[in-house]
This record gives sequence, C-alpha cells and structure tokens, in this order.
Amino acid sequence: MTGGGKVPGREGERPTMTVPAAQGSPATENATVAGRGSGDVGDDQAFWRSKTTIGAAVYLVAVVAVLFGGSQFTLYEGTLIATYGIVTVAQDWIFGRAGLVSLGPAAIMAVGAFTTARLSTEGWGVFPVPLLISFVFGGVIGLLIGIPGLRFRGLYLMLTTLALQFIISFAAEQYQGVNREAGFTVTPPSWGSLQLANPQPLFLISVILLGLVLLGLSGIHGGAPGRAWNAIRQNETAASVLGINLVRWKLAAFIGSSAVIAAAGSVYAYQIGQVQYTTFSLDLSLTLVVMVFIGGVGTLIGPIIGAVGVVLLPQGIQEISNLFSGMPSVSGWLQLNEGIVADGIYGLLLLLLLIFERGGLVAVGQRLGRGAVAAGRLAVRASAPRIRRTNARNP
Amino acid sequence: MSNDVATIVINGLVNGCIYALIGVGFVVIFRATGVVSFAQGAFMVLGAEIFASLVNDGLSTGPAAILAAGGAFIFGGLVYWLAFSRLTGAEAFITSVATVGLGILVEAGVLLIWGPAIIVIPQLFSYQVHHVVGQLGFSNIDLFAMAVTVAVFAVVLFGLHRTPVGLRMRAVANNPRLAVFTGVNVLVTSTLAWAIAGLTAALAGIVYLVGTQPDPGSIYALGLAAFPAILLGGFDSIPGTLVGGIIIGLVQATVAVYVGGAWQDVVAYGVLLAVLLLRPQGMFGSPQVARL
Repeated sequence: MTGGGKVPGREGERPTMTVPAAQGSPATENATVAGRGSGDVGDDQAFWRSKTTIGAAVYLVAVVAVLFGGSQFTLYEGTLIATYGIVTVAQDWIFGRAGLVSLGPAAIMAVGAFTTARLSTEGWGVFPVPLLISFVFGGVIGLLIGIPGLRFRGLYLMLTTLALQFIISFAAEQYQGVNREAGFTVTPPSWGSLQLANPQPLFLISVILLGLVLLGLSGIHGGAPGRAWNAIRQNETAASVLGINLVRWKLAAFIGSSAVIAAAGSVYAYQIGQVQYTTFSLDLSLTLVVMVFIGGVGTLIGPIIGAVGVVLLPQGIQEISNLFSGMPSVSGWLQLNEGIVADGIYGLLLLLLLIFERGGLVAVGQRLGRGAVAAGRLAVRASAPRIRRTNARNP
Repeated sequence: MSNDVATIVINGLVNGCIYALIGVGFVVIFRATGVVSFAQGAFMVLGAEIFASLVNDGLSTGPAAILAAGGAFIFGGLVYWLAFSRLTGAEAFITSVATVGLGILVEAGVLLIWGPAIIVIPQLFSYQVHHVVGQLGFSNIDLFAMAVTVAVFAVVLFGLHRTPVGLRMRAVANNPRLAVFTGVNVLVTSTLAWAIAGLTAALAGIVYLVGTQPDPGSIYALGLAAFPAILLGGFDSIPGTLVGGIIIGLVQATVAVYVGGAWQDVVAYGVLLAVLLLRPQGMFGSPQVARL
C-alpha cells in the first residue's frame, strides 16, 4: 500500500486509507504469532518455538534476575518500567490496533492514582481493592472519552482527549487544593506483616500486572476482537459493511485501555507514595505517547521498549557522563542537563523514526536482523560458487 | 466603564492577540500541508530567546525583533524542507505526533543553549496608560501587542489574496495535486508556509515575552493553550483565528475576574469541547474540515 501520491501536500481526502505498510506488517505478524501461541499448543515444536513462549521465558528470566539480583534502585526502576509499560501497551491498543487517538494517558493515570490515594486512607484500603476500583473508574473514564470518540476521528478526537487532559488535571488540582495542599499521602498497603510497598513485593505486583496485560492483549489482538479493530483501523466504512459493530468495538478499546492505564496509575501511586496533580502533566502524557511510536506501533514489544527507554535513557546519559570523568566540563554539563539531553534524544529519535521507519525501533531491529541473515547468506553464496567455478575451469 | 470591565477588555484583547498570532501560523501550516502542529510553542520559545539575547546585547527593539523573526522564518522553512516534506501522505495523526517530537527537540535545544531560567530583558515599553474611555486605557506594551497582530494579519491576508505567491499558496491549500499540474512548485510553497508559521510564532513569543517576562516552559505551554482559539475560529480560516483568539481571550479574562485565575485554562478547553460538539468546523472554517 502506498502511503500517498507523489504530490507533496495535504492528503486529507481519505485519511483512514493511508495505512503505511511498515505500520501494518508488524501488527499482522504479531497477530499470527499470538494465534500460533494459543492455537497450536498441542504441537510441542510449535509451542516451544512460538514467539509468545520465548517472550514469556525472557520476561520471567528478566523478572527473576531483577528480583533476586537487583539493588533497591534497580527494583525501583524495574517497577517504574513495568508501570509505564502497562500504560504504553494500553496506549498502543488505541493507536496501533483500533486506529483511534488519545493524548491524555497521564490524566487517566491520575484517576487511578487519586482513587488509590484516597481509598488507601479509608476502610477500603486492603491491597487489591483500590487497584480494582481504580480499574473500574478508569473504565468509566474510558466510556466518557469513548462517547465523543464515536463522533470524531483524527484531529477532533485528538483535541477532545487534549481537553480531557486539561480538565482532569484541573479537577485533580481543585480536589487536591480543597483537601490537601501538599498532595495525598498513600498509606502503604500490607497483608498482615508483609509490607507490599517494599521494593520487592511492589516490583512483583507491577510485573504480574504487566504480564497479565500482555498475556490478555496478545490473546485479544490475535483473536476476533483484534481482527475487528484491524478492520476498523484500515477502513471504517468497509469494516461496518462487513458487519463489525463500530460503536461496540471503539468503545471497547477506549474502556479497556483506560481501565488498564488507571490500574497502572494505582501501582504508580503506591510507588511514589505521595500523589500530586502536577505529576500527571501534559508533558508526561506526551512522553508516553511518543514512547509508543519510538518503540513501535502495533506490536506488544515496541511499547515496552519505549517504556524501558523513558526510564533508562537519563541513567544511560549519567553513565556516559562518567566516561568523560577526565573532562570535568563535559561530564558536569551532561550531568546538569541530563533530563534535557534525554528529551532532545527522544525528540530527534521520534522524528527520524517517523521519517525513515514508521514501525519504530522494533522494525529497525527486524530490518537489521534480516540484513544480517541476508549478508550471511550472501557471504556463503559468494564463497561457494567461486570454488565450483575454479573447479570447472581446471578439471 | 467600570474597573472590572476595563481589565477584562484590556487583558482579553492582549491575550486574544497573542492567541491569534500563534494561530495564524498554525492555520497557514494546516492549509498548506495538512499538518496539525503541536510545535508552535517551540517556535515561540526560539523567537523569544533569540530576541532576548539580541536585546540584552544592546540591539534596539525593532532590529532585534526582525532578526529573531527572520531566524525563526529560516528555521521553520528548514524544518519542513528537511523533515516534514518527507512525511507527506502520512496520516494526520502521525504528522501531529512528529510535531510533538519536533517541539520536544527544539525545546531541548533552546534549554541547552539558553537555560531554563526566566527570560530577563530590559523594560522596552512604558507601563504608562493612555486612557481611551473612563477606566479603559492601554499601556504601550498592550499597544505593541495589538499593533504587531494587526500588522501580521494585514500582511498575511494581503499576501494570500493579492500576490502571485499567495495565489499559489491558496492553490496548494485547495488541491495540491491540481496545483502541481498547473505548474506550482508545491515543495517551495509548503516550505514558505512553514517559514511564515515560524515567523509569526516567533513574533507571538516576542510579544508575550515583552509583556510578562516568562520562563521558556510557560511560553512552550502557551503554544498548546491556543488550540481552543484556533478551533473556535475554524481550523482553516485566518480571519477566524483573530476573532476566535479575541473571544477566547475575553472569555478567559472575564472568568479570571469573576471566578478566579485558576479557571482560565479549563474554561478555554470547555469552550473547545462545546465547539466540537455543536459546530466542529468553528465559526469560519469550511465544513469539510469536520470530516477529518
């Protein structure tokens, strides 16, 4: 599918038709992978080779390594990555699967975080309860976004969600201003003597939640709902002609992703311990949106890569600044401007990826992988015929 | 005229002018290339910072503003030429996300060069108020903001409707494919549109800087705060942006006086939601924009 004509300029006539090939291919590839993983479990070979199984194994190994080998700081960052990962994967549900738009993930996180902070101090604070109630509230907010989302597409939906970001942020500010100026302190959850807000239990909670979300979504995206969203994304009119209920599936995407994001907000509240409206800013929203695109839209691993990047890049810059310890001016400058340099890198990376490889880092990785395989084959082929040819000439 | 009303009219008009200045570049970009730009705030910061450093080096206001706006003009053109011309034909949402990336990148660059502190410039215009009717009076700062706005709108509207270049730009806005067949160089025309947007955004940044002495982050945020004004006027209407900007400015000033300053942003976005539900094309926009 060609992205557009040779004519530079507006391509406004059929915006839904122009699904770039690079964006479409990882989605379909992933869908088949998920199908293989869940469908052919009976076949031992297919099961052990499926990407879902391999992904789950890698995930488990990483989790166990961090859980037992990681310092307090590593555990903290691991929890943060898992929490952001839940949000980015849920954002991708909107962008990459249903073809919808949402610019306010931080606002929905705020709903979960404030709900959790408030409930944790009340009688409802027994651990999974605030998380589950946040999940439900998130779904309700998703329904509220979804209703205008049924009417609008593209630009207008984008502005609606932008307005939502401002309105929820304002409501949170008012709520916080009326009740507590310094924000809400989250009462750490506990089961008897087990303190769940300690680094290790909290890390486990976040990775289990992320694991459940990934498992659930890989099933959903590979099945009938995934095909319905795929059809809606590619051509809404055609999808409705095929008998897909647009209202139901669009609302389902908004409700589901918002519920998951609010649950992530709940975990985030437990982690930071003090919930303030300023945390859930438009900046955070835009960062989370950008991360999905950097990692790779329409895949499950792409958004996770984005979440890893958003947490670890500032730390990577810190490491680089240590390399320049011989030059105090350079390392000092890097340390001082760590966050700004990281922002600059995100911005540049996003622009470059959108221009050259719209599938994000995942697609870049696949391309490099294919390139390496092709180069390997070429090398083998280049060496083999030469031997044969010399043999033929000198019998 | 009572004191409250005078405050509302003055603040409403001045803020409305700034929204209109941000919006005019937005509309020019949207018409020419179909891109919904989230990067107007970044161009504003760039213009304001260049202007501030020139003024602080002893240059007078006029030349400094011209140089800063000229720098943003070239930068805006380069951005389209190097990056966004390659995104032609992508979905509107993809190009919008790309402008978010551009905004983050430019903002980071500005912060690395000039730092995140409040931009300090010497006082360029007096606060002395020229009274018009009763309590209603404008200081030189207010007059500067309104004069720049009127001049920009006059030049842009004259240029679009009375010059050959403007004719080409309107042709591209109307139908890029057909414009190519009639011999219009779409790349050059679109680049010019982005350059103009950079220039007008830089002027908006300068006007805002002269009035309030903000930090770079709040200038950047103002670029996003202009969306309600742009939508109210209509996404593809240049005069609409001026009307929408002034209406939003007046509404916000009224709310600030009678309800509280904290409500300003949320009221603007409330208006945005109402416009989306009742009349998505805005006051002067063309109806087909609503189908996006």
